[in-house]
Order: sequence, then C-alpha cells, then structure tokens
Amino acid sequence: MAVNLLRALAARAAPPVFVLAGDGGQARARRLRLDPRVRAVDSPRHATVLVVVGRMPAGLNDAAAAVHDQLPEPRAVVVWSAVSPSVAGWSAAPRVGDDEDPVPLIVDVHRELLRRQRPSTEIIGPRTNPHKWQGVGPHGQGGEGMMGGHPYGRSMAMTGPDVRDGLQLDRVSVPLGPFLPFMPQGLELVSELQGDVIVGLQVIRWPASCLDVPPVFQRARTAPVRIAALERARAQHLVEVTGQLLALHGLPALAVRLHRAVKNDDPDALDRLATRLGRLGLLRGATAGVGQIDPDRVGGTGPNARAAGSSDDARVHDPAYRALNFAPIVHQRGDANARWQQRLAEATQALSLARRAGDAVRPPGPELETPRGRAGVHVDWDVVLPELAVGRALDAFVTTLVSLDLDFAKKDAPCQR
Amino acid sequence: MPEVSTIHPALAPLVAFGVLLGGAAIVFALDGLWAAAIAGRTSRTMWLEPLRRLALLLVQRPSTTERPDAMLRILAPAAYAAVAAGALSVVPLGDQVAIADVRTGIVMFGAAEALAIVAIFMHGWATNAHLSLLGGYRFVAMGLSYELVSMFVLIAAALPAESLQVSAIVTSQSELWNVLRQPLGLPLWLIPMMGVSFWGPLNLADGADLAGGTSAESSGRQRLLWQAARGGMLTVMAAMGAAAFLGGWLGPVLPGWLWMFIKTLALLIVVTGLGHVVGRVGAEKSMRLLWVVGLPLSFVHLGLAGWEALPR
Repeated sequence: MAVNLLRALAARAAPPVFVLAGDGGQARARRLRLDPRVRAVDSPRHATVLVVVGRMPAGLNDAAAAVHDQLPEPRAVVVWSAVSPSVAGWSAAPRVGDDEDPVPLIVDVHRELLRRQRPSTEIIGPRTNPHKWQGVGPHGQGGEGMMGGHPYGRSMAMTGPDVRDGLQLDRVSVPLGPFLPFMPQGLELVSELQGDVIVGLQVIRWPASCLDVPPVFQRARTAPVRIAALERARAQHLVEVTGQLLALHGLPALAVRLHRAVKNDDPDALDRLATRLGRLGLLRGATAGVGQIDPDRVGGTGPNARAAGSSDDARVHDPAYRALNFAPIVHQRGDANARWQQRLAEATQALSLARRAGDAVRPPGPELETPRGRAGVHVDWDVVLPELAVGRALDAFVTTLVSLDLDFAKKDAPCQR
Repeated sequence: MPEVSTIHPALAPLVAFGVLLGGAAIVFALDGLWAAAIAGRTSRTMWLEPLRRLALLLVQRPSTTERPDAMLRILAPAAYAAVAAGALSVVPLGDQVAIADVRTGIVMFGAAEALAIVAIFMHGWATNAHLSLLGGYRFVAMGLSYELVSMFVLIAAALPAESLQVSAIVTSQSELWNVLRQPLGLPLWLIPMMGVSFWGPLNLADGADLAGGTSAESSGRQRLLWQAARGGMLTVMAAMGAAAFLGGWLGPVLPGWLWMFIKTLALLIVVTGLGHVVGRVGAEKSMRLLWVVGLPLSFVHLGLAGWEALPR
C-alpha cells in the first residue's frame, strides 16, 4: 500500500527524460530540453522515458540501444519523428509526428509506467561483455610491462608525454558521445585525457551531414517570407543554443526563463535577463576567458565572428532590412562569454526587428544570414576539431563547442525529416 | 569555558542523522522552490514536486555497471554521511547543547571536511566508469583549495573567542556577531560551503558536463542515498556558518535551537538560490580564482581579525 502511494506520487512528477536526437532533430531536441513540463536529465540513468527525436540513422542504432539499456526500470521509449527508428522493438513504441507536441504523450507514458499500466521495455543489447580481459603479455596483461592493453575492450591508462612539458604522465582514453547531452548529437569522439587536459582527439563518427536550420530559413532561399517570421525563428534558435550553454553550466531554470521570454515575444524581458547574466557575472564568471578561438578557423561567419570583432552580417546588404535600419551588433574578445552575449543581444535585436517589420516581406535573392551565419561556408572539420580540443581542459572544450553552435554539415542539403 | 551540556551518546546518532536527513529534505525542497521561482513557473503544487521526485527515486531500480567495486558503492555515501555527522558533532545545536563540544572543535571540523575528499573519490571510482572517475578526481584536485579557505576563516572566527571550541566562538559573539565584526568571513565561508558539498558554481564532482559526474551511473535508492548525504553535508556547513558568524543559539525571546534552525535555514536559502543563478566555473578557472583571489583574501581577513582581537 505504501508502495502504491509512492508510485502514485511518482507518477505525477515531471517526467525525467533523456533526449536522443537523430537527423533533423537537433533543434527540436534542444527545445524539448527547455520545456518546463518535462525534466531533461544529464544521464540516462536518471530518466524514465527515452525520447528519440528525428530520424535515427542506422549507424547509430547500437549506440541508441546502449543508451536505452542504461535507463533503470521502469523505462519506456517515445519517438518524436515521422519515421520509427529501426532499433529492435522501437517500431511499436508510442510515436508522435514531427509537427505535434510530444509532451502530453511523454507525460502519459510516464504515468502509465509508474502505475504499472504499461510494461517496462526490455534490455536490447548483450548482457555480457564479449571482450576478454587477457592481453598480449605472458601473464595475460595488456601491453607494455604491466600497463596498457584493452582489458574487457576498454583502454587501460598508459604513460605518455605531457603536451605542455614532456613529463611522462598517465593517459586514459575516454569515449565521448555520440549522445552526450550537450555535445552535437551523433558526434562520437575518443579523447585521450591526461588528467583533465585533452592530449589527443579522434573522431569516430560525424553528426548528420545535413543542414540543421529552422525551416523558414530554408524556405527563404527560394520563396518570399515575412521578415517577422524569419527574425522570430532566429531569436528562438539563438536563445535555445544559449539555453544549452546555461544548462551545461548548471542553470536550467534560467534557461527556461530565457526561453519563455522568447515564446512570449518579449524583447525587453530578454534584454533584462541578458544584462543580469552578464553584469552580475552569473554566467560571465564561468565563461570569461574560456574558449578563445580564431573565428576564421570555424567558418569566419555568423555570431561567432561578430563576437570576435568582425561586423560581417549579410543583412547589412539586404534591401529588405534597410527600411528597418539594421546595424550589426559586435562584441570583442571572441571567448565563450562574448559569444553567448552576442547571441542574446542578437536575439533581442531580432525580436525588436520582428515587431518593427510588421507585415514586411523579404524577397529571395540576396544572401541569407542564418542564425549560424552565411550558408555554404565549408570548414575542414577533420583538422579543425582536434585543433579546438588538444591542449584544452575537457570542460573548457565542451564549453567551447557548445558556445560555438557548430554545424558539421558536409552537404548544403537540409535534413530530411 | 562555557557550560555545555552534551547529548547522551546513545541519542547522539539519532540526533546527528535526524539533523542530516531533515536538513537534506529542506535543502532539496528549497532547491525545487528556487528552480520554480527562477524559471517563472510557480504554482500551487510546486511544493509537492520535491516529494514526487523523492517518490520516483524510491521506486526506480538502482543501476549496475560492469564490474563495479560493490563495497565502495555502498561505502561512499555512508562515508560521506559519516563525515558530515562527525563534523556536525562539534556544532552547538541549541542553547549550549552539542553532541561533542570538544575544546578543539574547529580542528575536528576541518579533519572531518578533509575526509570528504576520500568519500567523494570513492563514489567516483566505485562504478568503474570514465565520467564518474573524472568527477571524482576533479574534486580531489580542488578539495584542498576549499579547505584551506575554510580553515583560515574559522581560525579568524576563533581569534576573538581565544578558543578553538565552537561554543566559545558563539559566546564571543554575545555583543557583536562575527558577520559584522569580520565582514569578509561569511562571504568567504560560502566557498567551502558550496565546495565541500559540490553545490552550484563549485559542482565539479557531479557536473552536467560530465553527464552527472560521480552520480552519472547511479539511480534509484543508490542515488537517493548520495543526494541525502550531500544535502546533509550542506546543512552541516550551514550550521557551522550560523554558529561561527551569525551568533549560533544567541537571540532574544525564541529558544536557542530555534535560532540555530532559523540561521541555518537562512544560509541554506542563500546557497540553494546561488546554485540556480551562478554558473559552474570550470576546474582550471576556479582553481586560479581560489588560489589567486580566495586565499589571499582569507589571509587579509585573518590579519584583520588578528589585529582587531589584539588587547588594547
């Protein structure tokens, strides 16, 4: 009876969800994490519902199944996509279409799980580790001397020279991704860590090669769209990305508040919050001096470039914006602090532009400024990503990556939903 | 030396763990309320949300990882709670009542705090997972910084009392509370308060960038125990702050234990609020800030306290 009371109480809690994003699902995944009706958690072991957003590519099925198996019982899967994932058993999982609101279904599934009206899903992957502990040595040890090797398929720490002064210290291989909550989804990395410093980075898998921009920006390339719609979508994207940075630094409640200001179309509230975050040092302390990079290495365009002093913005040359007296916002320094302040300032500016624009329409033709900058800029990520990582502490690298809001698309084609 | 009555040894564990659990409950209730207030999502049922989360943790199954250190998995939260209880034993809980008010109270407190490093590293090690281990050793790297600041600040509070006994520190505040006499003390105390219980801006052990750090592989009752120990530690640090800076049990009209409760609660409200508004500072940066700004400030604070305490 006491257990029933506990289950009844637990059923009414905001469902803790772990969100996986596939192709075309990154933006919706970010939005879901900022939704106050659910509680997005950092680890699958803290969740009851696994939400799969977008089309899960076949190469990520094993990883998605592994994440699913980490959820403790009672667990369930909810799919927010037009297409069911091809993971075993998930074709029967409760599903909503791309344009619907998934939260009511998530809440219902959570309640049913806890009231025992829905069975918990079964483990998909193997229950035992196929790798052996023995390595190459005569006593079964791994590699050189008593260290190294891959017992049970995991790299053991091995000494190597420190990147800063050549001292021989232990290095450990830490796999990161592909579904680590704040990193670009689908990016699978293996980092060599020496303490907290990344001394090596290997990319096992890149995220979706399609462009992840709001649909209205895709339409704007070939069709006339209302400036207000374009700018509102821009503000929403910029705030969602900043919300991720806030959540990464332990401030999910502030992220929700920022998102509300955008949903309520309130540039003054957004401006006030941004000022408090900056001036009171609430996020400035965590990000000032962190993630200083040369923006030309990551495309040289968009908010990343403008946060480092460049005044390059395609909207300056766009006749539709001339009537609105558009002037680009610029920050100096080019660190993570400047980048999130730049994005919030641009979001506030976007909401004001949307208000002033009324029903004005932007004809297609002039170059388009997406929330990430000019389209069609290609970067050699195989070289640049390790450059961003090696020599930085792991937390500084993650902050840098999240503050840059990178698109690893190799093709200019938008994602198939 | 003040006349301090000690709680009977048979009752002491009950009192200690009662304070720890009650404190943890209050900490997480406050955390939930602050989150709702800051997100702008207050409602009539927001009081229930921490309770619902507790129920969910009790219903969820604990997780297992591959080849964990099973003994350490159980030992880590127990050790952390024991360390917190040990630190609590020297803090006067009411009108000259303490579990074990020894004459070297703040030394005992510091020793207990230092052992917290071991408990947190054990928690990071036990699950045999990369990100948990990272969280554990990040805390080990930072732990000394927090504890040095706490020691200097407590010694400065002990100077006017001319004693290391915590109840003597409280009675030395009968004319003027240390928060006014030594203005840097309480702000500096917030550093070890948030550091040793890895809360808010100093949450390196269980940070979101490590997918939950040492707690990344815990769920259900296992996770509840660790969170309860952590809330208990935060309560103990707040209680010491109340005793050393806010005059402990001193105050008109109300009984001593109620004053201690109110003052501890005030500090908990401040820290849980800070946890929702100040972003987590990375390991390298917080190390730099603590050693280049925090420690020199605590030396200055100690110097000022010493000068003020000189006989005239």
